[in-house]
Amino acid sequence: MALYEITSQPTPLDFESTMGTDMLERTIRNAKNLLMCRKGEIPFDRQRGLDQAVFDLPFEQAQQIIVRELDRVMLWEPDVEVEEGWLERDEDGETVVHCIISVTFEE
Amino acid sequence: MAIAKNAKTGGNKGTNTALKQSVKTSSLVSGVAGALAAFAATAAKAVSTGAAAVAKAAAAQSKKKNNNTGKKTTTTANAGSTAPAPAASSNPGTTILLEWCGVKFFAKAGQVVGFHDLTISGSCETEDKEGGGQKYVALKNKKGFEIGFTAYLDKRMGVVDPRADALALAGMAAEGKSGYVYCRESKLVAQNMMATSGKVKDILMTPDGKWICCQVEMTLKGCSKLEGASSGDGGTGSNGPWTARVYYSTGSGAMDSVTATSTVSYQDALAKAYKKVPSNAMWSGTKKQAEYQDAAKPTEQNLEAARKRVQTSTQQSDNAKDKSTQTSVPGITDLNKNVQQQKNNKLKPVRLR
Repeated sequence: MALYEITSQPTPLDFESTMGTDMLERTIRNAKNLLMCRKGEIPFDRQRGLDQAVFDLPFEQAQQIIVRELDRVMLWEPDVEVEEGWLERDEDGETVVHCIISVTFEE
Repeated sequence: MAIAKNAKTGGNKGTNTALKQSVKTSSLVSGVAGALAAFAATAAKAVSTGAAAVAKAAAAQSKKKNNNTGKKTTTTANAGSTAPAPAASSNPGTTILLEWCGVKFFAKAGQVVGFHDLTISGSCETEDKEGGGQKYVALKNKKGFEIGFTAYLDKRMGVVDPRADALALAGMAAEGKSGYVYCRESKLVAQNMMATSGKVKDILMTPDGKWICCQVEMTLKGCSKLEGASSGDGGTGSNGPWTARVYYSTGSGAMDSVTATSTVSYQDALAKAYKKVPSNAMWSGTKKQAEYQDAAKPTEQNLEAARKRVQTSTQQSDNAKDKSTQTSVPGITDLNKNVQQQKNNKLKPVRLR
C-alpha cells in the first residue's frame, strides 16, 4: 500500500502540472490544500479546513485529538484515508501538522 | 471553627507579650512614632507566627485525613469506593484509552468507563487452486478488520446511568453506526468500523429496578475500502513494506516523483526517496519551508536553464509568426488539432462533494 506524507506548510505551486491528468497527484494536492485551509475561511462552506482551535490546546492534548480532526478534514476528499497524524514544532516555534495518507479510488 | 480558635489564642498570646515588649522599647526610643512603629512591627510578627501556627495545624489535619502512613497517594476508583479522590494529579487531562463514534473509554479520578476483551482480527476469503500437482490457496477477497470489545458500565465506578449508556450502545449497533476507532493518539485500524452487534448482558439491578452495572459486548466490522490505489510492493496493513513517494520539480515546468521502498518503516522509505531526488530539484513534496526558500533562490544553473527556455520560447513564437504569414489560416487548423488532442485525452471528472 502506497502512503504519502503531507504537511500543513505551504509549498510553491507548480502551475503547469495542475493541468495534468494524474488523478493521484491531484488528490494528494487536494488533501494538502484541505490541510492548509483554516476552518471558517471559506464562504458557504465554513466547516471545511483545519480547526485552528487545535493549536490553542496544550501540545500533548492536541497530539491526542489531531487524528480525529484530520479525519474530519479529509471528509472533503473522500478518496483519501488518514493513516497517521502528528504535530511537530518547527525551528521558528510554529506547529506543523504532519499527516500520512493513503489514496483509494472507487471505480 | 477549631482552626479559628487556635489562631485566636495563639495570636492573642503573641500580641500580649509583643505589646509588653513594644512598651519597653517605646520608653527607650523617643517619640510616639517610634513607639507606634515598634508596636506595628511586633504585632505583625505575632500575626505571622499565629498564621504559621494555623498553617501547621491545617497541614497536620490534612495529613491525617489523607493517609495513615503519611504518604499522599492518588486513588484509582475501586469497586465500592466512595472516597473522593485527592487533587494534584500531574496529568492535567484525561487520557482516552479507546474512542469510537463519540463513545469514550477512560479512567480518571472519580470515574472509570472501562472495557475488556478487546480483540482485533483481520481475515480474507481464499479459493482453492491446484496446479503443477500441488494444491494451494489464492486470495479471492479481502475482508478487512473486525474489532470486538466488552464495555463495562458500573454506577459504582462513576457511570451516571448504565442503563441509558448500554441501550445507546445497543441502539448504535441496531442503526449500523460507523466511525474510526481511536486508541489514545492514533487510529487502531485505518478503516471505518461499523457496529454490527451490541449485546447487553450481566445486568445487575436493585430490587426496585435501578441498574447498578452491566456489560455490553460490541462487534465492529470494517465498512470502508482497505487498500490503496497505486500498486505498492505488496504488504499487508501497517506491517508490510512501506512505499514512499516524494514529488519534486526541477523548475523546468514538470513535476516528477521518485519512490522508494523499505521494510523497516515509512520514515526509512521516505529517507531513501529523498536521497533519490536530484540535486537540482527546486522543491520536493515534503521538504520544510526553510529548505524551500533556499531551493527557490536562483542558482547559476537555474538561471542558465531559464535563459535557454526564454530563448527557445522566443524562437518558437518567431517560428509561429513566420508560419502564420505563409499559410492562409494556420492558426485555426492548429487550434482544431489541440481540440482534438484534448478530446482524446479526456480528464476524469472530479467529484465535488
